[in-house]
Amino acid sequence: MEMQTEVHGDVAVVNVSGRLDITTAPLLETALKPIIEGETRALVVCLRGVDYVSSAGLRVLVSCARALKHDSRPLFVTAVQPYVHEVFEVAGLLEVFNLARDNDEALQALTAN
Amino acid sequence: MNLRLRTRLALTVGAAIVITFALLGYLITFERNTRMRSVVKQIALKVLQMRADDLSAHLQRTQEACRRLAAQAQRSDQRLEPPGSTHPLTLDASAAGMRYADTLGGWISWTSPAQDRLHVCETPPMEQVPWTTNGRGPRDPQPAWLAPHIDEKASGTPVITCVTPVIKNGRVTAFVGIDDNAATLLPSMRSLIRLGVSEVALIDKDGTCLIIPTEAAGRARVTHNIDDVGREHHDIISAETPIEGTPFKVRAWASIASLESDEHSFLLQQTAIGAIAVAILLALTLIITRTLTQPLASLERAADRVRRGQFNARVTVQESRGELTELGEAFNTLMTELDTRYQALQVAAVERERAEREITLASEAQSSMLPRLDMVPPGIEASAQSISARQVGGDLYDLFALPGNRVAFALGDTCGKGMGAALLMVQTVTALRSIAQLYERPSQCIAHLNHLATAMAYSVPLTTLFYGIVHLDDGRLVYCNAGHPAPIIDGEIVRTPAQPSLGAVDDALYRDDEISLRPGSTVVLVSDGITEAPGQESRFVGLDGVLREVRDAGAGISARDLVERLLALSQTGDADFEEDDATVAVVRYRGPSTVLRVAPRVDAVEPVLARIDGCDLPPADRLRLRLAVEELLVNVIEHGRSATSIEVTVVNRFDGVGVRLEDNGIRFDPTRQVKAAAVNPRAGDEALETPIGGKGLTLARHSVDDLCYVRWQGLNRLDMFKSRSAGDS
Repeated sequence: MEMQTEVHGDVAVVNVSGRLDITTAPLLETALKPIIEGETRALVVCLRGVDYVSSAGLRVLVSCARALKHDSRPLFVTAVQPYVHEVFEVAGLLEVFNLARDNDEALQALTAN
Repeated sequence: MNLRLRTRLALTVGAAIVITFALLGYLITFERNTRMRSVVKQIALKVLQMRADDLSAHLQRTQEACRRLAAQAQRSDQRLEPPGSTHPLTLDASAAGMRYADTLGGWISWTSPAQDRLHVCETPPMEQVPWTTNGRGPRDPQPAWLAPHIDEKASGTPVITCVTPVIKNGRVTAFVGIDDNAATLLPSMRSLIRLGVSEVALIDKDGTCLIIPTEAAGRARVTHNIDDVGREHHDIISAETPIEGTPFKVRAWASIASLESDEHSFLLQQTAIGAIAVAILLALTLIITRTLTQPLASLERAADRVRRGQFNARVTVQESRGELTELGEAFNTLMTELDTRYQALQVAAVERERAEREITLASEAQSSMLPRLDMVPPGIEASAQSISARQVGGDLYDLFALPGNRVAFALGDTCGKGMGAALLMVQTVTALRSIAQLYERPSQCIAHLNHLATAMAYSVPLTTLFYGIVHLDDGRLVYCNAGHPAPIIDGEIVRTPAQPSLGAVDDALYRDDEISLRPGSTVVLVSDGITEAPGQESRFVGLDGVLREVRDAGAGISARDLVERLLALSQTGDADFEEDDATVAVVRYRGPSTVLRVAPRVDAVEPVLARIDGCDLPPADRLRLRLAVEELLVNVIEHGRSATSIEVTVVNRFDGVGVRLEDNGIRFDPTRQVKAAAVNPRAGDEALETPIGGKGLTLARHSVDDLCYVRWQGLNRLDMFKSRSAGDS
């Protein structure tokens, strides 16, 4: 799994690629931790390069969403691939995340706010 | 009673008829007698009247004699001598020329031949006439009178004196009297006794009454009150007759009571006879009835006891030889026989029950020796079933895993059936399992078993045995067939040169045969209970018939269904055909499988998933299978559950990929957790708060086509299967 973090103003964008499973989920968690603890207004996680998410990956995303929601900071998940979308759906998590087609859509939504 | 039944009945009826007639006769006689008594009473009255008339006539005759005597005396001038005079006067009373002594004023007595006495007394001095002693004088001498009295001198003899005055020259010069001894009347009275006439009375006009008893011992008496007479009797009948020319009348009477006492005794007698007759009838009826009913009642009681299961019931048989006695004896004989047989039957039933229990136990023991096919590694789909002709059978099949990712399976048939064959079958199975791990090749095992069989001291029936080992990693089947019908593999009979059955040839050398199984290849083995069952057209089903059935069933049929179908071949329903033990085993090679044993740690997940990634599946299917394996594996690892080892078997089947996860942790069935989550789905913010762990199981269930859990010998076993999607490759 690979991760690349960008900062657009006060919004952090994390581009993830590879498989988000029991082995790699802790890496994502580690990467997201400073962002959550930092002053970032919002977080965008791009899953364009992710073709596989297991419950371990879901757990990281959900705990991240929970932490941000505590500070009323939005979390956007963008470019969710079909199979990952299906996993979200099966897990009943589609309502939990703000989903966007791509990062630009997410950033526009954030700017609009 | 030593009588036949018919005789007894006849006697009873006869006695009843006789006694009925006797009673009828009695009643008729009684009525007739009553009428007779009344007639007799009337006759008695008539006779009494006649007797009274007789007496009256007698006295009239005496009176007449007296009168004639007086007339003679009147005509003669003879003096009448007084009684006790020295001139006895002979007077011939019967002769007309009777003479009197010319003596007046005294009595002349004369004793006639009839013992009558003649008194003659002269008129003056009339006062001296001694016969006035009774206080009655000839106050009214006209024309004559009678004086009854008792002559005390003659021992109280009753006397009736007839007196007639002798009149001369217009005056009474004398009286002539005749003492008529009333006792002389008695002989004529005797007949009255029988009629109950006890007394006869001579009654004066003024009521003076001379009562003369009819009985010889009776004393006559004089009474003045006629009303006293017969008062001692309740009822009397009497007859009265006046004596012509005198103021007297004669009365005779009889007591009806005496007549009726006779009648009463007669009545009593008749009643007694009747009562005795009735009593005899009742007694006779009772006795005869009891001789009939008692044995029947006894039989009924005995039959009732038999009905309640008391087979020792007997009836008491009497000494006589009637039909009832014969019936009773027949009953007793029957019951003795029944009792004996019943007891034998009970003993036999107990024996039989014990034997059946033992057989049942043996059957259960034998069944427990057959393999649970849950044990089958996932690279194999196997099913087998055996139908014993009896409760225990001589057919055997076995399937067990061997080290080195191998599976061994065997199917054998011991000659014969029943307990003997079963014991040998058990021995063979036990021996096979014991030595299977000692040898690399099936032929070595077979040779060992043959050695065991031929080394036995006693004659042993032959056992045919097919023993094969499937190498699960590459699908090689190595087998040794000791005299068993050839296997059917992938719809073909695979014949190899025959080899001897176990126990046939000492130190026989056995050969292995080998064939490569493709994923999905099916090996079918049957025992001769199938092949030798009567077929539709040919004589037996034969191996060809089995082959036909296998081909008809097609490749898609499950092993279990194929077994059922082939077993049905032996179920002919033909009662004449003695079924043999029938066994079918189907072993299907699913595809090459690999086994990975890992420790329950997170870092162990990666190599397992790498193995999944290497599966021959379309990418989308592979990802889904990967997700399921990861979730389930993580579930085992993260929740601990005391597992120390996890074994993962991956089978590359022709139709997909199967994965088996086995761990030795405490019991946990993830499939049930998934169901629970499905019942109570959450959404939105609530879902955010839900622990993600449960989601993993949901995801796993969602990702595979088949997921099932079995707790088996201390292991949690999860089998999942992901089929290859159509159109992909």
